[in-house]
Amino acid sequence: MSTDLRRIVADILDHRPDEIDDGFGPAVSDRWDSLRHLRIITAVEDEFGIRFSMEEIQSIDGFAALQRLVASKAA
Amino acid sequence: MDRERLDLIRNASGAEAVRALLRDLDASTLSGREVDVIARSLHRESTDAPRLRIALLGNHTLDPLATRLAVHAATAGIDVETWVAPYGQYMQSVLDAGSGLAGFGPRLTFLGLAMRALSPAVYGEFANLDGAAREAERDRILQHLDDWVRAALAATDSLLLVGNFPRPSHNALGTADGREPLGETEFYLSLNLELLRRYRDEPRVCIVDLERLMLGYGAERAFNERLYHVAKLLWSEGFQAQLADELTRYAVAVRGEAKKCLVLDLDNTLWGGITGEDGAAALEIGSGSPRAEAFAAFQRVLKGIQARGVVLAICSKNNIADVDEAFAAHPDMPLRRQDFVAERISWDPKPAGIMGIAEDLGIGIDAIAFVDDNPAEREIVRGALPQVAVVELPADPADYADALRRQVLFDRLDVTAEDRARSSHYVQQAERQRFERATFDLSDYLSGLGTELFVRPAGEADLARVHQLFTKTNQFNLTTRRYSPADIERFLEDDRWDLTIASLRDRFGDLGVIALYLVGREGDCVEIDSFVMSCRALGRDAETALMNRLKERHAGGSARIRASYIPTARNAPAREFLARQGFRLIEEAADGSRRYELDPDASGAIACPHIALTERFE
Repeated sequence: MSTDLRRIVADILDHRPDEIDDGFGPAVSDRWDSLRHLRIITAVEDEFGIRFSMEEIQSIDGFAALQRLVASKAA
Repeated sequence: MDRERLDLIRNASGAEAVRALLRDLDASTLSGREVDVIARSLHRESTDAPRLRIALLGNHTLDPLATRLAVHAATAGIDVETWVAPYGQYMQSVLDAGSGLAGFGPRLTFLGLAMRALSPAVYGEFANLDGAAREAERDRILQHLDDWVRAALAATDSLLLVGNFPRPSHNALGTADGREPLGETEFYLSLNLELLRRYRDEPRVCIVDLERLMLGYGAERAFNERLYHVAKLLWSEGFQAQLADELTRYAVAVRGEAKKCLVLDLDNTLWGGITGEDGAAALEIGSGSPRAEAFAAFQRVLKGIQARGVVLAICSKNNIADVDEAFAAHPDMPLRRQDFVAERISWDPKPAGIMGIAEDLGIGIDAIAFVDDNPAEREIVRGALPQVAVVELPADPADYADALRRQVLFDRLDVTAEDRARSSHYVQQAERQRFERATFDLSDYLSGLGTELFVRPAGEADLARVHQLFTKTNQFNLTTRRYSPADIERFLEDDRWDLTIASLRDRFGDLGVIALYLVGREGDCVEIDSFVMSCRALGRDAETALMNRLKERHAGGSARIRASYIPTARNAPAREFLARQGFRLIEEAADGSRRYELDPDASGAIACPHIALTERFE
């Protein structure tokens, strides 16, 4: 899961997958802006077949949070 | 899209390489993530080739649509650059001369307004409004849009693409809606109808029918309530794909890249079964079986495409006698033998057949689309003739009709009288060729044709055809300047420009408006800006007759007539034209561009005895 997730985020933000670690997020990458945030959300929803609520969309503040939420929903 | 292809695109260098990888891809299936990767690769390297500029304005978030549009247009072979107005500033962008819009200089400008932001009362509280309030609100919206259109027409030379208003999938008034004065259904129908009617005669405004797109896609899937609340992103990824395809149609149309000829296979493409094996009588076409009906439905779609000005041709591995029999045995078949203006029925490879058809019709290979049920034939044509648009046919004939209707290949801004009559023009052309074969002497042939050329200044009513000649003529075109409708309107209004058109008729029929020239005049300096003639009028000295008319109008006294020839990949037929008309070469650049000046001693008419020239239309 985390490999696929990393690849999605990397594709959308034009990073290499190995640059996406647990500390990665809008605070360290200025490419993670509000529009690309939505892009990541919809791509993850489509590819994992899950759905985030509006609160969840706003609460995701980086790769670690995204990973946690996906894990809890995919379980 | 599979990961390998996406990786190839990710690592490809330059728009050209990316476009090659995108060829014949159904862009509407791309996810947002794939769109992002492809869009980056497309624009990684700057290119000198001019991109088609498209501006997007609205009252909701349009940036993802812009990214997707560039990718969809690339699959149609068009390099697009987009500009998105700052959020919500659709009115400021057209009113403020210093806004980014004017500097961007778009060729197409899309306006997409969400009713929920434009009129929260209509969107959210429709049931609470009385009839008078609804009417007032509808008129206010129309006025607001008209204000935008007027300002945008003044602010840019762009073609304006104004989105209409899809009605909600659930009525606020429920089952009583139809009894209400100006109920919700009537409100939206009348609003959209008025939009359509108001701008029908404004050549620079097109209504983008979002209502119809939603009908096809499903209104409930088209909106994304959650992301609208989070980020004012109104449309789902899937609906954005539909809209990107629709906007790409306009890009194809303004670029003049609509295909001119549709080349069709016969067995199992136009009818079910194989003529040579099953026999003509056993073919499934017309009625009598589900497959027979499906093929008939497909043929009717082809007839519709023909009516839009695309000619049909046959390329089939068959015996001619069998094909004749197939058409004869099925008189209820929608397409008749004479609907096809060219054919290659033989056992030769199809790429050779397609090239032969292009030659017969005097059009480029890149103006051809090809339909064949056999995937192997499609691959062969793709490999041998990459310029040909090869249509992917689904396996089931029931899906043929829709597959072709979805194609972004045949769009034009207007269907002119010339388009409607094109197919019969080519049939007349074939009769001329038979006459030519029967006549041994060229001069006898030409005088036997009885050609008449009618010349007059272009007017407002000719705008669509003039625009078509400017954008679609490749071969006999001195300078290949692709003027927009706005440019053409300026030429018509300004006395310093002489925009003259010519139509041609002979004993076999009327070819319609086939040529134009555009001359700019300042005192004694006369410049032939453009001289364009449709290839189907070539070979009978009509271009000389038209140049005689130009000289008669502009030569004489101390006037100096100058002209240019700018070479392109396609306009070699015009290369020696000016020299033959008595122009003297004064300069030739390294790229082959030439400057000419009319020799004062050669400013008289050159005899073209086989043409009668008249200063009017019949």
